[in-house]
Amino acid sequence: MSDSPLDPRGKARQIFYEALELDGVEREEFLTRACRQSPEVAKEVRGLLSALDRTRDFLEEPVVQIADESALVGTDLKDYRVLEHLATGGMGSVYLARQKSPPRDVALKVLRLPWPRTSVVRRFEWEAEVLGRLQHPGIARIYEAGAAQTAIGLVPFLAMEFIRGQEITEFVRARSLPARELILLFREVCLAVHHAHQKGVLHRDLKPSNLLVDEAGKPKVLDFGVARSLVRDDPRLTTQTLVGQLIGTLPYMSPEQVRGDSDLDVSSDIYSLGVVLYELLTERLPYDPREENLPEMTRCICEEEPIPMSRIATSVSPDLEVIVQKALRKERGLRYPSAEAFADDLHRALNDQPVRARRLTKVYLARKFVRRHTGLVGGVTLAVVALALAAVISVHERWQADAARHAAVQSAESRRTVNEILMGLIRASEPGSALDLARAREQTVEDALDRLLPTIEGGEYSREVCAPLHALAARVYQRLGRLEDAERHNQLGLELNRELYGEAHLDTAATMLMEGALHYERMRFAEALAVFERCSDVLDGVVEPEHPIQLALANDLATLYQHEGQLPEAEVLFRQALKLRQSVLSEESPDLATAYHNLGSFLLETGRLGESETLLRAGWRIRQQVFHERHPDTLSSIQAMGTLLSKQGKYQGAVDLLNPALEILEQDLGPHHHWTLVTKDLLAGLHSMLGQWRSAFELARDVAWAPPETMSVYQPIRGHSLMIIAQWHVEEGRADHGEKVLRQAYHVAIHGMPRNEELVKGVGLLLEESWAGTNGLWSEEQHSVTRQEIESGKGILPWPPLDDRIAILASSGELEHATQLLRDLLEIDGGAQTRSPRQRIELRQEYAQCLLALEELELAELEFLEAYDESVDTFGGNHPQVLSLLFDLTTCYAALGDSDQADEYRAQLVQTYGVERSGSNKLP
Amino acid sequence: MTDSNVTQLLDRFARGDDSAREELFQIVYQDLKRLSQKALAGRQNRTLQPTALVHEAYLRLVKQEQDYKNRSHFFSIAGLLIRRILVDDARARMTRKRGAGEEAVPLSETLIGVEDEWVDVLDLHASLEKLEAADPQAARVVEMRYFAGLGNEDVAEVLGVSLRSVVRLWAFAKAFLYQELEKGEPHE
Repeated sequence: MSDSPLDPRGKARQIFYEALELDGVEREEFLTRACRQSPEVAKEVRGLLSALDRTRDFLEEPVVQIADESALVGTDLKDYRVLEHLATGGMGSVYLARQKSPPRDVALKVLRLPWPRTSVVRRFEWEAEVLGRLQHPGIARIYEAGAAQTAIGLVPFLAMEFIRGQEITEFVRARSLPARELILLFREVCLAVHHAHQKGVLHRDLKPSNLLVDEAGKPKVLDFGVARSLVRDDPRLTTQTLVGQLIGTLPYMSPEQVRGDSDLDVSSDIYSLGVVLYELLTERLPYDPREENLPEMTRCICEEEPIPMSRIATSVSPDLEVIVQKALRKERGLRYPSAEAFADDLHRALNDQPVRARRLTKVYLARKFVRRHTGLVGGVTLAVVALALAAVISVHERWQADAARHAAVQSAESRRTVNEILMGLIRASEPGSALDLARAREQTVEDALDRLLPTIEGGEYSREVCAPLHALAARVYQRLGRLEDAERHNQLGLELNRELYGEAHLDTAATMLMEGALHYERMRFAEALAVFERCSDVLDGVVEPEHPIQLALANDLATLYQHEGQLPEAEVLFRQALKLRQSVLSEESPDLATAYHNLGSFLLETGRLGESETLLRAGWRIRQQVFHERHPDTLSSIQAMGTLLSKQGKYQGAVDLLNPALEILEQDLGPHHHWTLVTKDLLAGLHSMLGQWRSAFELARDVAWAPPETMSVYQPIRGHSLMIIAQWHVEEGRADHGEKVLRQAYHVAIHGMPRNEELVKGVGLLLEESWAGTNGLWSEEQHSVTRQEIESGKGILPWPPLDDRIAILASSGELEHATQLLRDLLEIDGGAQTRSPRQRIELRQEYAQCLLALEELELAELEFLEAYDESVDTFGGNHPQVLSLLFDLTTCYAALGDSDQADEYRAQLVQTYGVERSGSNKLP
Repeated sequence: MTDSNVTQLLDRFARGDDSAREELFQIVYQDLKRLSQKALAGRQNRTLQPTALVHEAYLRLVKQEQDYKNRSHFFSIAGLLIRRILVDDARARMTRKRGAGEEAVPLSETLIGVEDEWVDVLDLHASLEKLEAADPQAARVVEMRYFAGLGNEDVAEVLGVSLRSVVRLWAFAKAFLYQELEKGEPHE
């Protein structure tokens, strides 16, 4: 930079510099003098000076401001004398300052904003005013916020209550504070944070340096809401900026905060509190990033599970472990709903009460377990369904046996009479086969039979005529799921056959076979086996081994063996039956199809899928040729194929195959037929595996809530469906319900007949996981006590679990159904008075709330009023129950458009609330 | 690259060794580039602010306590870095927007400055190049004051000139740049 006098620019610069030192007239005189010889230089200098006049703030606010911390000390900033520099953080520096009026020490935070703009400062002032209203002993007050011109330019500042104290981590470490006192201290922090949350203020930057403990040992939260007032709406000051600037803050940020989500809520603060508590208990942070840089730390926060505290500090109790885990959930919905709830759980842990975190943790683990073991859970379904199918097929065998028996009716006259009666039945039903079950549900066969039977029993016909008709009725009723009627008629038929033909007769044997099958269906397996064995003895003397009824018996026995777990014996019998039929029957014979089908189903259950598929397809092919699509045999083939596909993992294919079959079953057999229910349960399992939880739940619900008497041999599928419902609850975030239903599932699995070991194991494992037994969070003792409780049936809701059903209905939008159930409950209770007054009031309130939601306003009003009167009588005027009813009444009258009444109740609410608040400082 | 390396370079730079300045600049620039790429990887439409990057670079490179003098020197380099980052960023945005076709460039994305007096980064950059040709020292003052936020004392320290000189250079630079920008010649 040479200033040669010959260089006009250099000369101009020199004159410019000198002119800078002068003002007004002096400057003008100087310029005139200095530039006399060169108008060019004069123009240059005047241009620069006038430009400088216009620059004002131009370039004065740096892109990055590295303020000199000491620059402000000793100067005045508005009403404050800056005394001492205390600290410098990512967002600025903090000074101790003395306020003139009122005279007090304040902490003056001078913020470093890369781009201070008047609009930012204005908003900041406004927010600070809101923050200033936060008054809580655990929160440092904010006195003033604004911007002031200082030695380092225009700076935004905050004047806050000056706390002489230590950071909470230092305080705890310095005193080696025992865990109990540490928790008590930390609870106060939670409650202070909760206070601010209730005022609608989030902290967003909770970390030890913002949590001081004052000289009296009381914790104080600093900088409430400051982060937000600075970053909001300013595109340059995104959370990302802060992440970079506040690298010390990063470990305390919630995953959603680190990701830069804009819709933070209280759960983000709860997460940060969780990190602080973790650090207080272990003196470490919950994650161990491989490198100390932004991306790696961010990844840890968003993806890694916290290191279990017990691994670092053995003294940390399991309760505290789950509490901290709950606060540190990645999914914000799984954290504590409020800082108060967090504090409450800490309180429980201190007093050795069961903590709330536990319950959620269990199901959280159960959910992870379900994900890990989807295969196993699916396997349970399939085994259960295969079993049920086998039973259905054994029943089907009766058709062949009956055919044989019909042939054995000896008297021509009897045969003619039977035929006439059957013709009458046919005429009474739809066109087509009278025995075609595809039509049976359309009431005609059933109605006709119901009308016919009294005449038969009236003694109008001979015993020879009555015997086969009773057997026929038994068969039809059995198919319709009316097992008691079936048993009654079969018994009558069996007795008549014995009287007419004696024990060693085909007709007698056939009715015995049915007796055994009915025992089986009603879960009397020992009786079933005894009957089958006697039947086998009888038949050996009557017919040759290839006779269809022998084959039917072999099938039934094999099914029973299979059920009893005697698989080799079962397989021998199934294979024998198939071999015999292949040698005797044509390629198109339905009996051959049945033999294919049964062995195929057996192999399906025992996991030999390849051979099973060949056999099942062979059976299905024959049935498609011989029967129409609604024939029970065709449907059972479809079911077996669906099961096979799901075992092969082709879930969607299985669903596509089974859906039409289910439609037919519902139409023809009705919604509560065991076969319909088995198919629904199978479909529910498939939908759950496809992640279609809503559909899974709807199907499983139909099974689980079917009238118990329809379930008979298929009880395990109820257990399985309950399990699916439990998983659905967990998926929907209702973990409490999930566990409740899981307990019911376990109860059914343990006590349901037949006991299905795979189901017991599956549900048991889910429950065990859900009790967090594997995590060592429960002691072995706690675990076994609970297991005993479950096994003995204690702690299980009475069946059916009506309250649970209502909750499910209401939460799944089926309000009308829920309302109906509540009305029924209230009526029943009105007579029986089995509930406590409190339960009754709650029930009525729930009912009224449903009515309100259904816009049955007048009815809702009446019920609310009654519940209100009852609760005032029971609890007195300012009980939380009364308050919540007052609130309901206000809402109800507002909905009715009766603003006078609404106002009156609102006023009463306010009045009562005041009374209540001064009493216990709590509003429901 | 180690901490001590950076520390040594800072020391040499502080003692007036300009080759150390260049070396240091390269180290920090490479580091910042890596850092910003990593930080931006997988994040669409997010930018890491240069402020944040430089602060972090400082924390990474100079972990132990540095004396204040070294800190000023570091941030004098930061001024140049930030200028370069802003320009790179603005150019990338312009290219992207032009490539994309119709979409207009939102003002706020390439402008810096105080409210009502926005300056286009690229215009400022072009004017700074002219200033550099006229007086390199004045351009350094702008980098340090405006881009790195150093105070006049720090600038004087780094440049090895008097405080009064810094004040003069700053006034000249502002006037010069303002005039240039007022001419309104678009960049590029």
